Amino acid sequence: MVQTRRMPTLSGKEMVILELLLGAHEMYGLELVGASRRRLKRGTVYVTLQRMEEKGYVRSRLEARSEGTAGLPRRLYEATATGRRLFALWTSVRRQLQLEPA
Amino acid sequence: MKAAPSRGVPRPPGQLLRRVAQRFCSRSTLVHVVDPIVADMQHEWDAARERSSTARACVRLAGYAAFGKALALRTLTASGEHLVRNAFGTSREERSFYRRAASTTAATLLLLTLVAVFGSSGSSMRSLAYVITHQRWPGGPAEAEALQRAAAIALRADALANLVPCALLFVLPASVLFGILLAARMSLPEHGPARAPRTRWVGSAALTATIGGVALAGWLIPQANQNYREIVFSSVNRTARAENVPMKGSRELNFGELGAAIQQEKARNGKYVALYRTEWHKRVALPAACTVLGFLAIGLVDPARGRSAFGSAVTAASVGFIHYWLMRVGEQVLMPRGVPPFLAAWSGNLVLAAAAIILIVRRHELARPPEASARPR
Repeated sequence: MVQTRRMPTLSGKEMVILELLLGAHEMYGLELVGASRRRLKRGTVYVTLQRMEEKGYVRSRLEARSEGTAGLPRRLYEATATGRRLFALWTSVRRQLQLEPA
Repeated sequence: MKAAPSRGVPRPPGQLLRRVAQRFCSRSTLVHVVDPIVADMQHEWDAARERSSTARACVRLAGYAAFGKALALRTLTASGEHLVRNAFGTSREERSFYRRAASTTAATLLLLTLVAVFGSSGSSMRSLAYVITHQRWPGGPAEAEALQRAAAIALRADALANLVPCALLFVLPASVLFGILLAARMSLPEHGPARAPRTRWVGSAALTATIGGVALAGWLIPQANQNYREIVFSSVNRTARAENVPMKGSRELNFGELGAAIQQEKARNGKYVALYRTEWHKRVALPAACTVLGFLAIGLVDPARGRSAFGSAVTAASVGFIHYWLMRVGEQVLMPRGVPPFLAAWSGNLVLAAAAIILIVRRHELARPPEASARPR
């Protein structure tokens, strides 16, 4: 994880990803796109996930290979404690500022 | 030794893409961007094996498109981060590269912009003279007088100044190519092993030009074009009232106005949707050509061929002309024939990007030491 002194921030896409990951235990990139109802796109989700992993908001692991599956193992993502805390904080700030749609 | 895949069992897609990416991408990008995309595509394709061949082809295409977009995005963000962190370079060699690239590009831009401004001013003078003579303005003048009036309008300082942004954008890609090509060639060491220009340096320089170009194309040029039209309109039609300004065409709309115009045309099933969308894509494609041509420069720099400035100028002029010609073909020939606006506007960039990839791969092959090429894979 890259340590920075800057205030941690969450972009709109990062919020969506954390929201989805908090609802499920682990998800892979394409699953996130499918569950996001068009809020995430296939071409951008992987780059966003990489950035979030560098910031320490999510962590990932390779899935265990099952018999008879061809191709590379998928990468599964889950929210870290930092990601969870940041999401909770961000959501409450947004609510307090009434930026959330009613 | 790797076992050969048995006949009849189709290979999962994406292996070639991954091999190509291995050549260019950092380990982090490979592990966190390329492999997850390929893995997801392969699993989706595996799940679609029972379905029709069309469904499988769709999975493939969607995967390839996501792969291209993600890599382009990653390249842009990585180059941007590099540029912010090392705005003036981290080493003497790198600073010297940026200085040479910037000064050569600026000098070329200045020269080519002047040529382009006076060239387009000359052609608008001819059109103006035609309009003044043939539109029979009240008390229409004779041809010689019309030409004189047209020249007076076209050579007005404020009219010429408003042609500058558009001319700048058109000559920007070729100027950037020349700047990078010359800087890269001059950076080659005179003694010792020849090295190719660093991809990150070239990426950063080209990306800066692209960002500047998008700002120019999206906001400054439309305003300058409209100013030019108003100046010419008020000069030709002296009886016009100040509030009667000419309506904006597609080239006079900024990004926001173009987006709104596209939505309006779509809502009323208008015939100008393709025109507006092509114009929108062109505004991004033309500046993006700086990045494409920047990477083409990496492929074009041949460490064995010395540091000729004349050779770089000829190469840049030829490539710039080819790019301009391909973009014109996209706009004038492909778009009216129903080719999607994206392809019509990006055709030049796509062709030259393919050429850049081929040249870079070839250069990597040539640069590889003989024992590495002889090693069994």
